[in-house]
Amino acid sequence: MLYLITGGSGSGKSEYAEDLLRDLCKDQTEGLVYVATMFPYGDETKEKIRRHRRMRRDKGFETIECYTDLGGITGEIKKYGTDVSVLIECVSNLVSNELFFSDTSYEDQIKQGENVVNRILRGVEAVRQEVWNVVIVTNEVNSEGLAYTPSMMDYKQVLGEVNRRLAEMADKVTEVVYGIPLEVKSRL
Amino acid sequence: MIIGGAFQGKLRYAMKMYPDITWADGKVCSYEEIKTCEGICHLEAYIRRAMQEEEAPLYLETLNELAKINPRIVVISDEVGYGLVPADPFERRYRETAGRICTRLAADAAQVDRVVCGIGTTIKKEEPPLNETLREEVQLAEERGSEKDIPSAEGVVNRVSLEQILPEEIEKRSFEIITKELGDIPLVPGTEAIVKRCIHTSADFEYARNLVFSEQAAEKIQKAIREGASIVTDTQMVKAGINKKKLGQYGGKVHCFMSDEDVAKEAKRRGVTRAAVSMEKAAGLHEKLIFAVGNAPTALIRLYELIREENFKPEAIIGVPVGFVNVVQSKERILTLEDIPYIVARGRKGGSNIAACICNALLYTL
Repeated sequence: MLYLITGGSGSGKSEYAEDLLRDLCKDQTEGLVYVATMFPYGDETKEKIRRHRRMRRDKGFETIECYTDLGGITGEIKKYGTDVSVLIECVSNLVSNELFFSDTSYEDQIKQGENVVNRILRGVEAVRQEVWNVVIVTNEVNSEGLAYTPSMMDYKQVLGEVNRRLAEMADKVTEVVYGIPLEVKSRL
Repeated sequence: MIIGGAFQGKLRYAMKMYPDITWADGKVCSYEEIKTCEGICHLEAYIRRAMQEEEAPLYLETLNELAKINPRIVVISDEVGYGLVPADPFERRYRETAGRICTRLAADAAQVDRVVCGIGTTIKKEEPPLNETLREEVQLAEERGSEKDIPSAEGVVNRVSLEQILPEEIEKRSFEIITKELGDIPLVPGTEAIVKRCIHTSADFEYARNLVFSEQAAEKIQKAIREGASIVTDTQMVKAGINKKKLGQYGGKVHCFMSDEDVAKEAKRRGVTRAAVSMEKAAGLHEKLIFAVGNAPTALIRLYELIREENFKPEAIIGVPVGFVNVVQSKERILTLEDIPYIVARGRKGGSNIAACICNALLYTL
């Protein structure tokens, strides 16, 4: 099953997603894998990572770090067994890593036919093939009216498209509003 | 708690919901005000201001504990987390803090409404348990007056949630409520008493739409009763529910053959239901008969066959079995009968109580 969790910042999506995966794998004591995508580039980010690690500690997750190329971690996931369930957090970081860590610009990537959207979606699909449940956390960033630089607009556009395509693939899409889950789509 | 994007009409929505409370404005109110005010709008602005003060940790701690400090407060806040992570460090921290505080408040809130384009949706609602309501009422009473004014628990229950009503008035009051809530749903003239009694029995207003009457069914059945017709039921429960005294005034009786030994044996021998055999036994009585079926679709199906194939002619059929297997089909068969008056509850709903209540509605309006 593929679950997509979205919401604004500080909305409690991470905690909700972790509890959801725990719930899906009730009696399991192992095989819960957390795919961390946030690159630790400053004190604030490091603090955020520490906060999330603290939250996960008691919930029994193994952590794999993955900043780009999600499809490349399937080998590592297999190490944790055959009945693995995975929490990927979060797509917004993955998109920004793919876009801004790359030497080629977004326009060039599109020209090469190897755009970020497809790379991420293929990565999710590859992970999904290997595991039992995938819970993906993403971010709703397109509901405000501030003006941004072109590269930020690129980012918003790509993330918007990734979110749309992931929602198509997902069995269930939930928006978390201040800790309250609102069902957006469910085929369960 | 009421949340939503900026300029969505949250305050207007809140004022409609809570017309009697006064509102503090998070943009300008004092930091202490939040501990005592009835409502506050722009909590997000309050958080932003508080974060810039020296005593910020203290103010923010108060917000996290707000449910304890000011448990009845209504909080209105913008949702501020739906954009890119701001480049400015303070803005980043503000967004995160506002989100965490609102998540905490939403967890503590009894109700959370989200307003989009002026339209509110309740996304969380907790009903307080009754005993909690009671405790609050007792506390209020204690605060208000001397000991002798404290009502008994029973008195409180009545005052909190129950209408004071005399026993003989209950049915009358029920029918008043039903008539009011039916509003202008059209009912076939002559069927009102039956429809309303079905709703009275079940508290289910769907009977206003799913009861189907053949032409002048009520009048024809009442005529049969006056002429001494008896009623055959498919359960002891229907029989128990019918007012037999009233029926007896016109010479009719209520028959239920379900527990008869010969019926049970015959059903077992042929591998059919006792309800079906009951109908055959009734058909053999050669009396004026009205059938009231509240449980077994097989009774209706057998009746249908007896009428179509063996020329059986009952006075009328009240067909209201309840359930999921063959119930709908059995009723639809009855609806195809042309010469037999019927009252049928279309669909899955019905039951022995409904069958009895239709009989009684007919008896009481004779």
